[in-house]
Amino acid sequence: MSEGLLIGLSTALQPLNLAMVFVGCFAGTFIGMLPGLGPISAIALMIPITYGFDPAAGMILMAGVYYGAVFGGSTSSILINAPGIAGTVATTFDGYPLAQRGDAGKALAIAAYASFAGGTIGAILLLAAAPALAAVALSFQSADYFALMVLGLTAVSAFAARGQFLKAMMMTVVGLMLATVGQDVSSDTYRFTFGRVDLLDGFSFLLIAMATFALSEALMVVLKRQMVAPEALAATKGHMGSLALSRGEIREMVPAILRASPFGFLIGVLPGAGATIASFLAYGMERNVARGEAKACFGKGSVRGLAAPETANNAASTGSFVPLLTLGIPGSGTTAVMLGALLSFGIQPGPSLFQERPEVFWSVIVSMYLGNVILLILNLPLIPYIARLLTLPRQLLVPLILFFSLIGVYLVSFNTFDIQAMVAFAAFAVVFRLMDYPMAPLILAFVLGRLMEENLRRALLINDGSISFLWERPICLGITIVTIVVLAVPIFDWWRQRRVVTAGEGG
Amino acid sequence: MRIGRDRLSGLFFLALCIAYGVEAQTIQVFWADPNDPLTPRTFPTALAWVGGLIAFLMVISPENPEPSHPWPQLKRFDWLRVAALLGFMVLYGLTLQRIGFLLASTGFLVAGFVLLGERRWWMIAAASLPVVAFFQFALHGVLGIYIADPFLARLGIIR
Repeated sequence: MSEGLLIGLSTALQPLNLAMVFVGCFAGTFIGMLPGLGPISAIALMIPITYGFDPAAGMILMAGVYYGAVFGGSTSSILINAPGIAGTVATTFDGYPLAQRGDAGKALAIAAYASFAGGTIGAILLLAAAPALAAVALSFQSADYFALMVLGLTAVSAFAARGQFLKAMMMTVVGLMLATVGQDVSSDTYRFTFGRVDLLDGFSFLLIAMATFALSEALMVVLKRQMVAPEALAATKGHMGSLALSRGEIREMVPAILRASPFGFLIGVLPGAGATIASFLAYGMERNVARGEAKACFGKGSVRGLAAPETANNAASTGSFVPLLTLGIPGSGTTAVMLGALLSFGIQPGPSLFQERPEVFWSVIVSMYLGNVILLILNLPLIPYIARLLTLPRQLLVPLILFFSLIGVYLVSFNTFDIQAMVAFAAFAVVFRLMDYPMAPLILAFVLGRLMEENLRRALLINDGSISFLWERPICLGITIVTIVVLAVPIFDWWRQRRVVTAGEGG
Repeated sequence: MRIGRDRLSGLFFLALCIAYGVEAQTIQVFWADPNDPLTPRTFPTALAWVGGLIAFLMVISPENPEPSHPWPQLKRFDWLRVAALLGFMVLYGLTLQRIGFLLASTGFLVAGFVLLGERRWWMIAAASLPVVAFFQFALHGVLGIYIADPFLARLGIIR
């Protein structure tokens, strides 16, 4: 492991790669701060830029963007009560009241320290967990991978917001359907091309990611008339207050960070869960642990109430890299986009990545830590200035985001059909976002679709066409049981809800 | 049974899955390898069935009584601007190769800025042509990515 760490350090500390972490953190913070635009959009926007880079530099840039976007989301949550991403909604509960009290600087400092600590502890845990899991995963066969992918797709739907299970499952199926367009994985047969040459290669993952995230999120900003937030003007004109924390506040913050870090990391490792669930659960856990006056402070500017979700979301972001790097199976929309990017570099993540391309594996892990350091030492002091970006006129930003998204996809294929397809998918995404359909399962399923079909085919060939591997192989059986349990909870919830409503209508 | 937007979207997906399933049956299958347990048609057919089942469950499920975007809110949304932006994007795609990257991109940005309410002409000028020109220069000069541009070619700036 020490050898791997040295490889990672020597790769990540190269001047170009250090610059990538810096640029990534800064760009991510900026994009993450824009309400509506999250890390998936931020990463997708960066992908066309990384095509000319070597895979390690590209992944380092994207890891930096991811962290920056999470941190940027916290900034807009605290200053203007408008979380840039779902993972920082819990941050508003106590972060915004602190800012309203005139302690915006303090709240941002707590968020930065908590994010740093969460990311650091998460990176240490990743350092230990990833190689161990990669070693176990070497014994995995196609059948196990197929079962794992089914679990990942089921879990991402099961962990969707209450009442959205069927919608998330539907989006998963749509994502899988889109992945079947083009040439079949193992034969020369073309599927769903309708005689169009443009569709022979299928849809590129970047096209789908940009259309359903970057484009549709930018269009939602226009649709909801979120052009200029008056709170943003007020927050950035006003005094931020001191960034320094008192000894008492540090004493309050540290235990919350120590509790939330491993907790957030573990949630992040789970397929389908991630930063949003981790931050809400950590907030709830911290409130339950608190007693007396400390408990009463929650929701009114509690230091613990801010530190816990901020720590957990960063630790979970780190944890979500475990299944991606070791199994090659992303557990969230964001890591799905990263998987798509890796595949476009010609790299298949998984246990073999650890052995064949150790510089990519380890440099991503090391750069995550560097990203946290950079966010703390560069972004924190610059926060009063970065916050002014919140007041940048959206009437200029939105067309520029649309332009870079469209041209980013066009530059891959040089086919204007892709632009028209993006517009169609973006319109679809806007309409279905308004009907509470989550888009993350779609992108996850799209990225996994071909891998899933390929692994299923191989598993069936090995098993003489029988799906008995699902219960005959012990690993598969274990994964299948977990999938059934994960599936049973929302199905039971749906059935109960339906019964209540039917009884209500009948009575 | 009241048909709200959840059930309506369920019906839409049900139709989509049926159409997808029907189209899947037209996929050419070569029987050269009788041992292949998964033909190019198998996975799409399975998807159509699973998708159809989920869509059916959506149709028979109760409507969400508290949607995150209720009707009154939807009516206040800026549909016209979004439709216009989508139109501009389609137009951009249609003109990109005909009139060239520089003109088409500048036109798209200017139209977008004006549509979204920017009226300061110096700002519109500064955020459009120089941005596109710099981007094109970076693509050609730094990254070595060539974008055909009939307009600049006619001027003799690029080949």
